[in-house]
Amino acid sequence: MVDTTYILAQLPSRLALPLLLALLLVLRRRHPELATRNFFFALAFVCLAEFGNSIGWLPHSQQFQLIYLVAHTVLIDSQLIAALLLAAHRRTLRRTGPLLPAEFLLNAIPLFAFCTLWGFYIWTRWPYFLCIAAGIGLLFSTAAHGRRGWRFASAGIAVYLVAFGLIFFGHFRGGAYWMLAAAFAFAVWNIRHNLPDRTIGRFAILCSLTVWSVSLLLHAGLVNHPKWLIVADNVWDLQKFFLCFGILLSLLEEEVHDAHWAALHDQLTGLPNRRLLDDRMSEAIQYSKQTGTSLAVFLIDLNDFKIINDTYGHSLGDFVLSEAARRMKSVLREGDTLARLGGDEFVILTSHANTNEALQTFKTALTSALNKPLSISGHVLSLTGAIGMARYSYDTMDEGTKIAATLLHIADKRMYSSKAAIRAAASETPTTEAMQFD
Amino acid sequence: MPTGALNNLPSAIALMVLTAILFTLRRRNRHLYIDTWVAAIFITFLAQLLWFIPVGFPTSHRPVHICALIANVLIGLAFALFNGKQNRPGRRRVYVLSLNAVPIIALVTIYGFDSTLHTSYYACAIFGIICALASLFLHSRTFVVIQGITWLLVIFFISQNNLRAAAYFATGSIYLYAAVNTWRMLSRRLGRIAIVTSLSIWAASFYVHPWVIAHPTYVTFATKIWEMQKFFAIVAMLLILLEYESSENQRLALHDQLTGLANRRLMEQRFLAAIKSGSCELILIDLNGFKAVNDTLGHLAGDDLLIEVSRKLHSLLAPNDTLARVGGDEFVIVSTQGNNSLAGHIRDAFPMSTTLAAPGDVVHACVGVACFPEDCTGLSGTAAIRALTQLADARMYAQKRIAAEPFR
Repeated sequence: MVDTTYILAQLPSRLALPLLLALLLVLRRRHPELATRNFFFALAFVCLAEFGNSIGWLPHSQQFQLIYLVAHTVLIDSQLIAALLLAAHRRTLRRTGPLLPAEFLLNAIPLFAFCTLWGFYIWTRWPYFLCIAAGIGLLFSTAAHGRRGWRFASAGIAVYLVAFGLIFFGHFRGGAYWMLAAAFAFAVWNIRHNLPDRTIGRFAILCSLTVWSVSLLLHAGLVNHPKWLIVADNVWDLQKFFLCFGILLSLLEEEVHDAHWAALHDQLTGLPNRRLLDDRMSEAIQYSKQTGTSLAVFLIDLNDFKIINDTYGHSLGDFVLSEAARRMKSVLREGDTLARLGGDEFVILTSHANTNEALQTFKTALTSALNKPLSISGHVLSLTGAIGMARYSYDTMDEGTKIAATLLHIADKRMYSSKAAIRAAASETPTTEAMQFD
Repeated sequence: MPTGALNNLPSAIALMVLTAILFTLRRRNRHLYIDTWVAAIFITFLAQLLWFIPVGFPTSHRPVHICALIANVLIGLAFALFNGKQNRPGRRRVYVLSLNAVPIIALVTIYGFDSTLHTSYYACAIFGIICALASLFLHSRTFVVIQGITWLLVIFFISQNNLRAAAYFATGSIYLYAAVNTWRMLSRRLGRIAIVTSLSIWAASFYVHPWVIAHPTYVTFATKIWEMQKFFAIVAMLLILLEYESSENQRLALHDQLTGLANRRLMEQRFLAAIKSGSCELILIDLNGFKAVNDTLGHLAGDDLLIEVSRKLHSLLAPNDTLARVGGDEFVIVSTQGNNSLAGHIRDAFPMSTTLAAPGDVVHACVGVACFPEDCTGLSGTAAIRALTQLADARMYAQKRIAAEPFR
């Protein structure tokens, strides 16, 4: 008969994962912007694996033989798929993009076949050898086609060779679990590269997957030691929480990072916003005070931007702004700051231009980078900007916190006078493209 | 190593790592106020370590049992202190909860000493009732009701000589309060359901413990649940933080940081919806002389001015109207009120007096209005948006020219 105490003891851990999965599903529904897809499906397959494992509750008898075999296969294969899904996680993959990249799928086929063979308890060597040969062949071909490096291919081939050895000496269980452990090690390797460095979410996921990989490796040896099997069982029970924990933590860290970034940057162009510029400016002023070097502030205002926006719509206006930002960025040097003040006003902060000549060179480079016609969706727009410049400590001797404001103010005035000059020049020769909007 | 200790090794290690991880999370992100949670998990970890003390060390198991009982009360206390917001719990809450924890700790300690002296149990219960009543003036009524009922039940159990039930019911009450409190403090989020479920299971574990001990069939079952739900609580807690941050990010993406108004993207979404609904009104507002304020008084003063103007404009709107800031000193209102009174109200609002010592003390603005479907027959969707915006803009600029006339 089925043992009630045993089933009751198993119930909590069997229910935990579906519960976590349900939570993650609702989270996915409510926050589609979170990159939860691969994580969710991986956990779903872990859940399936556990379900396969639960068939062990059924009384052992000949009539259930096939069900056992299928359940065992599900247990093995689902873990393999979960590992591959975790390995394929990328932050940028939100809803689009393949669940598993093509080269993953291709290389997974022999692995899958290998695990399925063990799932059905096939005790003949040659089908396993066939899988190993196919696996090695596929690894060679993917490496040759440049989809993955040779380092990856050689690691994979080494794994297959060990599996070959294990099967050759008749350790079928060892071979299958070795392959699963390798799949999880692969997931560890990929997650390590795909999640941001030095985040604790990554650390938690890596811990979890490493423990998983090691327990799979030890599994074959533990089968005959009941005392350790209970510990292994407890590890397995915690494992899913830990994985879930790592997933949520890593999502949380991404969100916190995004919020921090959004608070200090302009959404459209990705440039620093005024708040970050204020910080950078006071830092730069402090630095130039201490070292006696000079600091230059350029204020750039795009000409006739409002007209472009009103005539062609905001989406085109947004494109013009991004393009202007990209062009100006190209003349910056290490340590310079380009910020968007708002609307069509940009600021460049540079401490590289110490002499008048250097400043003139920089200004010329900036002008020639920015003032080029821009063709977009059939229109050719003249993109030009008026530039005003101020220098510390040449232009202002102010003290204290007002220096930054004074510098911007001076640059603004100069920018306006240069704009007026451009206007005056343009009204004499009304042939430029920009004039058609006036 | 004893089997119990061996079986608990994975949990103990996991809790240790989790404590360290949460501590690092807190250190790195100062704005996530999770101190009480980290404390709860840390005490859970310490309680887990008690399993590694061999039975009968050094002379009896009593001190270990007492420590475990007190740890349970402290964990509940830490969970109850969580107030759902991203800040420190109020001082008053800390006092009230600590005060009420004293009789519970006293009770479980007496129970831990295997004392059968009923008088001491009764004394704790009466002390508990006094503490609960004293809290009536300091804290929520729910708390007092839970504590009151709990202590009455405790007295009942003592009279029945069921001392275990008395001790465990007293402990469970804190978890129950933590569950109720968290439910109230958090908004309708997924994380709330998760954490409240977890805390309720935790409370229930205490309530059923005296019964489970008497029924060996369910002991493993209860132990497994007990082991798991600690981790479930941590997952739930991360879920709460994640949802909070994620909603915050979404809000940031669709709103202007300075004024908290909708930004252009959100305005366009609402505008499209308004056009689909049949009729709407677009009002453009452009402040005059804003640049002068920014230049003469600094951009902090300019920011204050924008905030003040946005508040005044917002006070004129109906609940379904959208006020957006779409750039420097430009505001947009999308209204579905259906009559033209709003535009009139907006026009009447200017010149607007502000608290800023701006030049002239008042803010002038130009207002341009366009109506759907009257002003753009035959158009719909984004085409209508563009046409209406251009029209309203043109009307606003026409006004601007008139406004500028007298100064020429």
